[in-house]
Amino acid sequence: MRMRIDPVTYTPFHEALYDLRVRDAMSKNLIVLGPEATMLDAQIAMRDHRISGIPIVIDGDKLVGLVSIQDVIEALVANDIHAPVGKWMTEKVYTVREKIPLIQAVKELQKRGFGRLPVLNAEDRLVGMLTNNDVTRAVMLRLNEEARAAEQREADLMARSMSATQERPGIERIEIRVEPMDLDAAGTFAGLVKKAVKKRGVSPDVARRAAIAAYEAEVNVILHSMGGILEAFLSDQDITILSRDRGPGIPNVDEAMKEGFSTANEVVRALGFGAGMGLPNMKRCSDEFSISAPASGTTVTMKILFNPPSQATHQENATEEKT
Amino acid sequence: MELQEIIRLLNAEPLVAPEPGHPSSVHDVCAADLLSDILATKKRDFVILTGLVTPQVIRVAEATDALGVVIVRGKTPPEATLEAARKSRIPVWRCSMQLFESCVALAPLIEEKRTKEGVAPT
Repeated sequence: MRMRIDPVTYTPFHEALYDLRVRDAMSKNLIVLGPEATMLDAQIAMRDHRISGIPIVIDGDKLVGLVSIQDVIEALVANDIHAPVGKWMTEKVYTVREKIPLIQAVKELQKRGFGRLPVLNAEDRLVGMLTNNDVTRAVMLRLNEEARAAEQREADLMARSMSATQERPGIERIEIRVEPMDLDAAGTFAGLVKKAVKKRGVSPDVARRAAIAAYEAEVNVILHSMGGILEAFLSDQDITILSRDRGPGIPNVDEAMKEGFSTANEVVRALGFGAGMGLPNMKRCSDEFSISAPASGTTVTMKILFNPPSQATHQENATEEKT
Repeated sequence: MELQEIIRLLNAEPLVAPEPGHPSSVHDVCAADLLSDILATKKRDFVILTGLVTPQVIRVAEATDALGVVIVRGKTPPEATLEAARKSRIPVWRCSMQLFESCVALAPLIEEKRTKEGVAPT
């Protein structure tokens, strides 16, 4: 791999090279031999693992030399393939530290024409090997991540402009963006919703239903989606809560609406969630409820009237507990 | 029922004490180790009994207008939970009983209240 760092052609590729550290790119699954192993052992190990150099270590990870294919060939030519690697290995090995920027290691690889560099930690212990292939793979992965992040930013911007179009005079709007698994933030939206509806002097029952609907929606997006946006629109008569996430959707909405149905994992359950009551509870708390859940993202809309015609509907629908 | 009576029967110690003016009368108790169950309850003016200690317990208490949280099994909640409780003015107690034991301890009180009100026990 040839890389000339030229300010004119400075690309995201180079940026990644500066940004990454050696330990981000190096191979950590090391094939090593002790000095007592033979050159034949080295040759077999190289063939079996498709590698072109083997670090020679003592005490497990103390580097004492390196055997390359070149060394193996020389041993073969000298008809000395059964000699210990200690005899043929290169003892003066160039190494790099795991914490240095990747670009420095790349320069070292190029300058010296090496195919590989052993990587040492601060205690001088061998922790990895860095080859040109490792460098390419790490940079490509990083570029891929960055491309995905850029796509996400674009999608967020789109969602944001969509929301902006829904702004109407006389409508108070609350918006919270949530990230996946950010449980610390859970309840922020519900708190804002509750405060906003209380300010409008609604009954405690209405305020509670709005807060619970908002909280359940918030937790759902945090626990089950790839992040999303929660919005609330308050008019004089009602509050509409809109929850939109970035997927993965719900394969079977009818199943998900059943009480007790849950796809939550053990982590989620240990936190006290995942009883399979979220969606049914959201519906119960709302005067109007709709959900669509394609793979591209779930959208839930809930309307709660400030002066419901009969609060009895909600009372009847509420879950009865046995205490 | 008096909030203080519940606390006395549970032998619970305050971690975040109720502020002056906090309602002293409680209508019901909601015992659950799943937040979803608390969120789905139709009870009013209730105290939460739970073994959960995350700040989300406080968020749920706030959303459901709960009058306080009793943490069972002698668990110590993280500071973040107590901080959230202070902020939201939700009192928190800790008792060493298991969740079931705490329900048993409160059963006579709840039964007495229901008899007084003429409500059949559920």
